[in-house]
Amino acid sequence: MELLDRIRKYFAFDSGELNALLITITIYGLIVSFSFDIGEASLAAWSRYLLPSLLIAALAIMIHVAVIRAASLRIGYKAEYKMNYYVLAFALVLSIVTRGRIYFIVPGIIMFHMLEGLRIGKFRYGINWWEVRWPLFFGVLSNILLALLFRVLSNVGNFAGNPLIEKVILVNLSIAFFSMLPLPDFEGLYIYFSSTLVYAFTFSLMAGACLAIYLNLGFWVSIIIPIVIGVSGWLIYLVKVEMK
Amino acid sequence: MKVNYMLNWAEYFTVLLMVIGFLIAITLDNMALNLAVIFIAGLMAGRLLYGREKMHKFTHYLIVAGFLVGYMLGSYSYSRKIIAAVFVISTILSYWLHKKGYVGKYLPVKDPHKQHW
Repeated sequence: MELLDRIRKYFAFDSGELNALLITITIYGLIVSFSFDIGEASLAAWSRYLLPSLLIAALAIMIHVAVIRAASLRIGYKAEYKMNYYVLAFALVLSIVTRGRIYFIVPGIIMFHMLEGLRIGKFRYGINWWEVRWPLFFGVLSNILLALLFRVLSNVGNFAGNPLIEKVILVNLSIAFFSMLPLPDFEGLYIYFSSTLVYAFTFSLMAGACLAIYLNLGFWVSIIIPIVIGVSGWLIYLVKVEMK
Repeated sequence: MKVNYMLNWAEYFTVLLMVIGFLIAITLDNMALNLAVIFIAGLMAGRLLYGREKMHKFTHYLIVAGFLVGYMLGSYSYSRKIIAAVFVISTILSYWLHKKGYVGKYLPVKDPHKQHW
């Protein structure tokens, strides 16, 4: 109930964030639309795929940002969304150069603001790496779960082989994988700075999940394999790096 | 010869971006796509130059010029004058948009004592 109350009070996006989200979704929608196998190279053929592509990009990015926003309110922070101009330009250029075969989709920058009233009496009162990694982890996890849900759907009779569902899966996996890279302003960097061991586990877990869902290994295998890969990554990092 | 990356980072970045520009240009076989890519690159160059207007100004001009030279070398079958003109125009446009405040300049605050990350 307390979380619902916080969401009611603080969840709404301001106009700057809405503009940033709109531009991000439009650019990623364009990138997704380039990746469809249109057949004939005409503007009319391509424009048929533009609206579904925008919807796919909107779904993936809004889920990601909304989960981070809600999870950060749970611990007394407000996550603000900002555009990452360089990443957007790089993604667009990469998509043009590869004719839509490779797409690099990473949501923008997440900035955290402390809501002082909601943090009173909390252990580690201020903003710190240890706390901010949780909302970011859940944001990435939400994309993995969405991809898994659509993967399950893609194996059901009528939806099998539907190119739109395949795109939803690929876009969500792309967001989950690339967000976890420890690059400046990427979400992986926050987790990396909080603890390298936790990062080794989380990155292996997400990479394993992306691989299992992409290869369509089945529901239970897609849950078990990431955990096995995650624990293996954690153990390898512990033995090869931390204990040396 | 011992290489000091910290002292010569501008030269390394210039060569790296020259190679990236060259590779991008040779993979594009369409003038419209060429212009689209160089326009986007110009917008980013304007942002980069505006963000660094007070420090390392020359080094960033060098890096941006390196990219343009690499790109022009790679786009041998198209008009290089048009490509250079589009790049310069989009860079100036982006710089002007940043200067007028139409596009926000975001510099992350990494100071843990400030309560905004």
